[in-house]
Amino acid sequence: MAVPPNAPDADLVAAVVAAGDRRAFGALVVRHQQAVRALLLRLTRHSTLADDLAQETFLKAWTRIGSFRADGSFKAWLCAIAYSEFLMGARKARASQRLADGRAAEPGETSTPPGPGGERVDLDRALAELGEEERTCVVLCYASGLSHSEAAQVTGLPVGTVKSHVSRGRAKLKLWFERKEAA
Amino acid sequence: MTRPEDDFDAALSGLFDDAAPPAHDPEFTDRVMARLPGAERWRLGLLAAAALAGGAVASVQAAPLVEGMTIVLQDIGTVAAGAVGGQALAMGIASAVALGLTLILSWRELGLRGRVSSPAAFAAGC
Repeated sequence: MAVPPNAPDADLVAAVVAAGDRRAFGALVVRHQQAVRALLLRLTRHSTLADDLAQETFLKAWTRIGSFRADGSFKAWLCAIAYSEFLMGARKARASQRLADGRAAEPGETSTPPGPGGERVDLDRALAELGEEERTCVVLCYASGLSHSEAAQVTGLPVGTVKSHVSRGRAKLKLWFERKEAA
Repeated sequence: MTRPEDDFDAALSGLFDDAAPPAHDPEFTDRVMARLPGAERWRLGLLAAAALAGGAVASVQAAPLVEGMTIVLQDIGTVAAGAVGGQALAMGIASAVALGLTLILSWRELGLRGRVSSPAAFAAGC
């Protein structure tokens, strides 16, 4: 019997694992594509690149879905794959940039911003002020809505470190917005 | 009464919400589904056809084999051969081997299905 597309994640995952149910996987893609794409968009600040990485994320999820443990959140599991794809992509990009002997691009200068709108640009500029791990933890917790422990699973960092990154990142963002208002 | 930290948290969450996450894109789902490794049913069909063809060839060639096996079985297992008949026993063994081979090949085929990873296509402009 086919699993309805509105079934819980666990049921859809079980159908994919048991029978390679492509419709069930399609329902998971429909359900989580926005979260994955939004996460990667915030991390890469490049919409086309974010969508490419999101596709790779779901393809990896298809091949590795047997390793998903039902006691965790499927969204957090997907975010972990997405973050891993982002890191691999960033490493490759850094390597090719070194090979090309190009100068390091300022964040947001060469990338396409997510879209028009002052708040979006402000947020991206503010996020660019954070360190990579701080930005990742802030994005995971505030944009993707993950808990500190889920963000720790995604990044492989201890929960305490995630909390510190979120706290420091949050403080930097607050300062950035305060300075902007004062200016 | 809310603390300033809570206010900022709410404002920050609001900023992320307002920063318009990418809209749901049906084409994105289509692209992902199109890139999933296929079920490759034709390969399973081909495998079954090959097994049937092999069985047919084997059945034509079975007579000398059965004769030889019967002789061997008569030597090593006259009791077993006597109980079920040498020819039946030989055919049973041959069938079991063919069945086992088919199961192994089918299992490998099904096991490999969905385990093929796609090459990463990372845009050069990161």
